[in-house]
Amino acid sequence: MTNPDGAPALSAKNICKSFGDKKILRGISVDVAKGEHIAIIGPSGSGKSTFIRCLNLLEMPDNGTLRLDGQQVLDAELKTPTRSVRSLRKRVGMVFQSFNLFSTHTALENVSLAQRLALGRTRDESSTRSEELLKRVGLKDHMDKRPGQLSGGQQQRVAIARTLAMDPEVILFDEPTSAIDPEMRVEVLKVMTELAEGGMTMMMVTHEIEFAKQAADRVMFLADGEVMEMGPSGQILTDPENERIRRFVNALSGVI
Amino acid sequence: MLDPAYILEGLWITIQIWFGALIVSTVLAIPVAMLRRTKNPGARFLGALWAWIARGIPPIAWLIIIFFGLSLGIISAVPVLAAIVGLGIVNSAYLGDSIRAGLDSVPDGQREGAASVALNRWDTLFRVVLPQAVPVMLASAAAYSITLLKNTAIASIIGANELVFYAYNAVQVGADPLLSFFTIGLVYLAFTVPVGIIARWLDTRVRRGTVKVAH
Amino acid sequence: MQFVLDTLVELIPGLWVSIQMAAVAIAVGIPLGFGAGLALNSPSKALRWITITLVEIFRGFPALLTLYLVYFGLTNIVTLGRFTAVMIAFGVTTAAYTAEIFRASIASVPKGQIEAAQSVALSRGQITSRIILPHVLNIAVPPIIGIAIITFQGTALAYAIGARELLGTAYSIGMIQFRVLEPLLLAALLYLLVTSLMAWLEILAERRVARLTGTNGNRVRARRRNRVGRQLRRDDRALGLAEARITP
Ligand SMILES: Nc1ncnc2c1ncn2[C@@H]1O[C@H](COP(=O)(O)OP(=O)(O)O)[C@@H](O)[C@H]1O
Ligand SMILES: [Mg+2]
Repeated sequence: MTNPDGAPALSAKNICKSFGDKKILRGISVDVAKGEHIAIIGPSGSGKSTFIRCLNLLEMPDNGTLRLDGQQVLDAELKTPTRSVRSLRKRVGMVFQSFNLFSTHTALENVSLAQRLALGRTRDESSTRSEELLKRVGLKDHMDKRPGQLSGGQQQRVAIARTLAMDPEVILFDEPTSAIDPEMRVEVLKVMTELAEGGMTMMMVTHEIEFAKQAADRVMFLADGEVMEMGPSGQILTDPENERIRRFVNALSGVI
Repeated sequence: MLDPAYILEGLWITIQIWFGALIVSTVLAIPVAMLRRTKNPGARFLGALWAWIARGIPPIAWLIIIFFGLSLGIISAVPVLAAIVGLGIVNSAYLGDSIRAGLDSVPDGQREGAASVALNRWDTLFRVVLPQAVPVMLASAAAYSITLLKNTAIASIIGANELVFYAYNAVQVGADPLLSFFTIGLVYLAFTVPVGIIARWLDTRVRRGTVKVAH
Repeated sequence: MQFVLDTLVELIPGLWVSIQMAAVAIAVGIPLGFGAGLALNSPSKALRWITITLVEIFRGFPALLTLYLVYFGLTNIVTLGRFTAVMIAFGVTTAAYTAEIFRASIASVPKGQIEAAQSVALSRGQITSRIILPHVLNIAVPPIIGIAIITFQGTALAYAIGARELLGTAYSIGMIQFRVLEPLLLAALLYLLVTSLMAWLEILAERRVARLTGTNGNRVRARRRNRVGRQLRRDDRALGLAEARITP
């Protein structure tokens, strides 16, 4: 997908990361156009989480550059010329596999907290916005519950609302449904599909093949810290040329 | 000034109280733990009642009651014995918990497995259950034994001539209180710190499931 | 019977002194303990070691010895009343006991929640005050009540320096009335009563924590590990008493 109006929403170049002397990411590059949806798939341990965490600097890459909307946010010296890491994070949202809601706060507070503390919105503004978002993800009746009182699917939708409340330019998802009971996944996938249809720029690690076929424009297949294949989702997920990818996709689709 | 010879003498009495109370509490804790593991609600209640009373009353109150309040023959006449019995009662509640926790930590499947290969009760207990339960028991029992050691200091109040008793008297006749009590404290640390390290070591091993006891 | 009632009435002021002693010791001990808990989590090695040393000393000393140390030892420097000595000695002891609880609760804040807070651009200070502190205050309450029970029972040691708290009062009533056992037993009953009340609060607090921290993946595993402990406590609930847990 080519981008009609200028710079990619997110551009990562040559992202490298090692833990100890173990090389996890061996130079990954990707340009995500505005409104584009990229699915990342690959075997467990291939570095998908590490890569996506590097994109909002929860992990600091050992090497590489990051641009947001054409603006350099991590240069080759691994400096962040923008005021701080925090200002990057205001622009890049993250949805975690295990939701990571603040357990001492209600759903509403989870969504409001950073609006007030990081964006400086007033209490009223943030509450109104949070209520609106929680309604949008179907949690109108659960706003005053704490994470412990919510199902996994509900918690993940609160987490998505928390991220949306920051009005991010890009949202990163790290296996958002794999810690959720199968029957609850569909409600999270529905919210994600709506987001995608609404034009949000998204990068998502996911093993929901059917969802990825529908929602993703391109698929990135990671293996051993490298991009093994990158291409249109229709082609990679329905008729992969590479034998390894074919086996992987078939296994996920339940085809023997 | 404190006299090292007297410190050693006091230490010897402290250790007697400590070990004596450990023995008394073990003797008491085993039946208490058994009572509390039966299915009979009456027996469970008795066991729980014992534990409740034993630890609901401060150790020093136990000692004063036994020594000044009751007439239990020689026990109420000899401070060291009164301390051994009183602290033994208190520690039996905690030790009972250690024993129960140890036995409860062995999965039912282990007993069922033993039954399925026709081990008798005795062999099941000694060859299957206890070897797994004992490390768990020891981990918390070691921790409680630290509390017990520190509680032996209370025996000085009823006149047992252990470490604190000696330091207290030395201070009364002119020894420097800060220095004397601090020195005695270091003697306690010489025991509590290593036992604490052992307890924590056992505890982490037990949690990881790596302690294996030969049998 | 009349004697029992009269004695109970005479014991009440003693009980009140014991409760006050415990309250001030806890009020001194908890902030100190929290500070120590923060220090134990600090990246500075020197600070951690100094704190560990202090904590180990006052946790390893018998409380009675610490009381003597303060009451007789500090008197050379400043004159201390019995109550002040008790407050300092048991305050420091309580701090040493709670330090480990605070350290562990601070360390137990799920890493994922900190990362989530970072990902929505909260600053370090905001993460400490808005995410870590509420979490610690929540989960540390039940074990802190457990320590408070120990502190309350520990106030009986003040008898040894002649304070007129519950045990001391009972003993002197016994001496005056020439009936030693009954006042002591009544005092024991009052200790049992207050201890049970606190233990009951501890159980309520525990339930609240269980409710608040609900169903995260790692919680489920932790809960399974705690099965044994919960079984123990369930039995105690029959009598309204949770075991006073002592961290080694
Ligand atoms: N903080 C870390 N320290 C050390 N090794 C790590 C760390 N995080 C991830 N790894 C290792 O990096 C590799 C890739 O992990 P990850 O990115 O989570 O893979 P994926 O998400 O594709 O399953 C794994 O082998 C993992 O053990
Ligand atoms: Mg992963």
